[in-house]
Amino acid sequence: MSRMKHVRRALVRAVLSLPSYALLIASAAVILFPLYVTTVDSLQPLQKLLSFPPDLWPDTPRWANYRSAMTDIPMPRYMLNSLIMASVITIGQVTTAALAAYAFSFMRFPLRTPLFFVFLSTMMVPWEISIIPNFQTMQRLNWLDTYQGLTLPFLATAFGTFLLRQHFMTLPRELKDAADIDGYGDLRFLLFVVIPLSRAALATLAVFSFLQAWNQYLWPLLVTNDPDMRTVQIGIAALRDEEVQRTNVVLAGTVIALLPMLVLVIAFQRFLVRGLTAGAVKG
Amino acid sequence: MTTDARLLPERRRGSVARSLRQLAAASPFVLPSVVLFGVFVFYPLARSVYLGFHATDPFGRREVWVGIEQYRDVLTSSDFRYSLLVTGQFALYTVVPSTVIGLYLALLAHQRLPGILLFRTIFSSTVASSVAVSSVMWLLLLNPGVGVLNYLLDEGGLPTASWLTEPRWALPAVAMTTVWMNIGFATIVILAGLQNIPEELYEAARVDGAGRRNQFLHVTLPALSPTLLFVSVVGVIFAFQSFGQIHILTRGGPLDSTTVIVYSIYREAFLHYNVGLASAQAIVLFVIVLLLTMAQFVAAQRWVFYR
Amino acid sequence: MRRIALLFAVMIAGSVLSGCAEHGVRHSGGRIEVRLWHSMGGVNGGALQKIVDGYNGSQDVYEVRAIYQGGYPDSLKKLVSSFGTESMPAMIQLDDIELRFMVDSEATVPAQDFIEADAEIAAPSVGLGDFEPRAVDYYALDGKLRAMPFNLSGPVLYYDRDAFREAGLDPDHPPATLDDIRAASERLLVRDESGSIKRNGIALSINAWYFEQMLAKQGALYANNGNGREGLATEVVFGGAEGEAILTWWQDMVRSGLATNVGRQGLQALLAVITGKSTMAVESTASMRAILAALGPAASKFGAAPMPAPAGEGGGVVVGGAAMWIMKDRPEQERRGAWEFLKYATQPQVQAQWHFDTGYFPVRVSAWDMEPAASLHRDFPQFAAARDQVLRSPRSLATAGAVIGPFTQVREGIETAFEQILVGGETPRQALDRAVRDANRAIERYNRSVE
Repeated sequence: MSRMKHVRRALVRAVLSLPSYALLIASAAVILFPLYVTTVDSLQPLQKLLSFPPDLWPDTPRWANYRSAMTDIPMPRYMLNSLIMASVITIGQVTTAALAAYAFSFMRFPLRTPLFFVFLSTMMVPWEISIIPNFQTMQRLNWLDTYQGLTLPFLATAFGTFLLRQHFMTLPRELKDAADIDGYGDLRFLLFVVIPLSRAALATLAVFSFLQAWNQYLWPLLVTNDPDMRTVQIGIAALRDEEVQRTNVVLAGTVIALLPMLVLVIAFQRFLVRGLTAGAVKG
Repeated sequence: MTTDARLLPERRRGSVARSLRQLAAASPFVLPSVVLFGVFVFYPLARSVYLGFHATDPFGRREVWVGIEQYRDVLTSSDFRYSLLVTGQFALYTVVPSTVIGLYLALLAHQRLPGILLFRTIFSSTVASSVAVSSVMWLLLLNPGVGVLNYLLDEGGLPTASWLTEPRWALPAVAMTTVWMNIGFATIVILAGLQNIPEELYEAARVDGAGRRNQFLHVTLPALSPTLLFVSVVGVIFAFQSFGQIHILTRGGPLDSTTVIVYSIYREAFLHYNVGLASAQAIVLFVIVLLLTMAQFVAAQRWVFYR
Repeated sequence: MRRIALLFAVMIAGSVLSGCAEHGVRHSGGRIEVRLWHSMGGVNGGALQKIVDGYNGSQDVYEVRAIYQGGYPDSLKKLVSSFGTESMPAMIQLDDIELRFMVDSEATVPAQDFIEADAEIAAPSVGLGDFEPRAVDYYALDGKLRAMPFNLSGPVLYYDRDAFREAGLDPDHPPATLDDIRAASERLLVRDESGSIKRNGIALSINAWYFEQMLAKQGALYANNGNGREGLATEVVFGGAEGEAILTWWQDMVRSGLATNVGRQGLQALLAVITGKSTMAVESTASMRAILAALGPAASKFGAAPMPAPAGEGGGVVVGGAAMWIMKDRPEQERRGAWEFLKYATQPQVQAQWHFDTGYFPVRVSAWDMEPAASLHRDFPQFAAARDQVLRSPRSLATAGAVIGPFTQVREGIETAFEQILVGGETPRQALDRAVRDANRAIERYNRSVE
């Protein structure tokens, strides 16, 4: 008798949540739709793309499009450049932010508050102000078409500093006191106590930094002329300009450019949300 | 009393030494960031002001002092004011839908249903799509002849348009692309905010007899207000810095209807080679953004609930 | 302020890998590398690569490396940003309108210098005589040839011969003046049962270049001081009756439904003709080859004729296209390599092949009759019309083309004027006056900054 009741209750719950599932599925479909169309079109032969009404399922997938996208332009090289640029920026941002956040949360020193406002103020200086002079700086140093030119302006982050600081502030003071007693210096404390306890926050910052760096457009556009130094984003925009007619190949290139980040986001799903909870986002 | 007076100078000296020691200890931690900010944020600010006062030759070789002429040009130019308008419209068209849709998706994804993690992943997936990827994708979708969007509209009996080449629709079309890009981020942040709301608040409301709707209005929304503010502020900042989508989708046209300020500055500096004028535009923009941010915080004091 | 920033930068530089090469000759596989920045995408890019490969294979001192840098404006922007840095190429292909800009930059070596120093070319039997004289007219300023013309094109009218026949028009005598186009369009208009237009007369795309060509065809000047060739141009003169006639015609045609406005994207006008939405289109010959090849046997359906213009006397087309500039700031050996490459690339035989592969006019007159160019004309008679238009253009200041510094901005102003009269609701006079005002302001600012 109670088994029947359980089953019936489960069925009722399932039926009641149908509307929720319907909404979820509908919303997911709308969001995924552009990605779906792009993937389908990337596998079509050219005539299908120019036909109307558009074909929404690839009957004969043309994988050669992907081969074209990888070989018509030096896509592997672009991906390598993006990888190097994004990695350097991520490591740089996590490092400088962790160091500064530590100082703001665990250390006492004169000018701490004014310096905090200085960090805050950098978030208010819009990027538009910096592009021209930063570009001129790179020109004068002859660092166009170099990795340092691509990465240096982004190695420090006020946003990342605040994110980590928020998290560091939730760690108990007693830890520091205990470390002081044990004779740990600041650096050792940071490296061996704070960092291991902050893996989620650090991972979140790393994921966001990497995403942002990988997806940059304007700066690499300005700073690279040599196709050997181009990043993936500039590469697919250039592919689009160069191969205006062969939309299917351009879209194949787009899918290739999208995949790594998609994999990253799916793999690190938990960090994206969790890293922002636990008191991190309070405006 | 005499003992105290003799003690004073020593204690003051000791505290100065301690402050210096603290500063020395903290320096290696903050210096990397400070130096980088100095070179890549503050120096450019000063240099942009300087450049705004000079007319430059197209080849980057000479600068001639022209006083406030370029700043005056910018403030009186109808083109600049128009692009401010365009930027403001763009911010409105992107921030409001992104926040609202993000809230909607986050609420959907907050339910405790089996398989919800899949939907959460899907909703946040657009965060992986870069400006270039999204723009190239939407360029095809928005194609008036063979794009899927017009096909679907047609099937549904709705009017179609040449989205990116009609002055009336180009900006909303670019905004739609941007909103799609932003919803992933908005969903993630708002979801985190939702998960932060303690269950006790809901229980207290239920005890008071509040139904689902009232719980939403009186618990969820107020508790989310800092998060929503954060998403809006970030959204406005992104809107004001948007460049890639416009460069790929419309190049600022048609009829300058998608020329947001960043694009105008880029065009002035790198296509018309007027670095001085472009810098003046950037500085004027900075002042406006500064005033806007201060206004946003003042408004926040009135609308946002902090626990 | 700048010194402090540089100090910071040097501090950072000290701890970072410097990847920059010394400012010396570039080498590649034992040869001297000569970088060429170009804007030839798709099929034309392949054709350029063929020339480069041919040159590299013909000698072993220089290795030319062709790098696609996007469209001409993007390429120029990158060039300017590379001044004074290691990034600069030895050669760059830029479109005709950048003539004044490049000369003012003082960053190039005039082709004339190379010509005079090169015994081979100075020899009377070779000389410059065989070069397309109108192209030489274009790129010569103050008696010196500044850049080497490389890919020349002209505007033509494409039209659907079958549609002409159906409408009772003679496909061998296509309309020549704007009034003729209007008359023909009225007969070519096809409506469906509900009265909406299924096919109209002509598809028009917004491109300031067509405006310039239509002015030249009336023998009208674009800028003062002899189109900027007798002295520095200080203002534009296209705001007169000839300019207004063009805009008025354009607006009338679109408003009456006889013409479709296809916007600013290239090739859209021709696509409208191919898909049957319009019967005629004005396009550049630059893509003629690719299009005709893509059409296959259907290509014979389409004819080509000289671009129409308001009826006028003594006019012709401007043959500008794009040219190759050799940069001054690269080592002597790279400049020499660039010049040797250009000599190779402008040989009649190479140009005949280039014409066959791309449809660009050869820069050598004798190349028109060489194979494979000759067989191309047999298969596609459309090229004959394009060639005739050039041959019949008188050489004058108007057809030599205008020389203005901020040409791109002036063109933007013209295209805005078109958009204003087509979608914005202004009158041609209003739009034209505004374009003139904006152009003059840009020229004044430019001239002031480079003097």
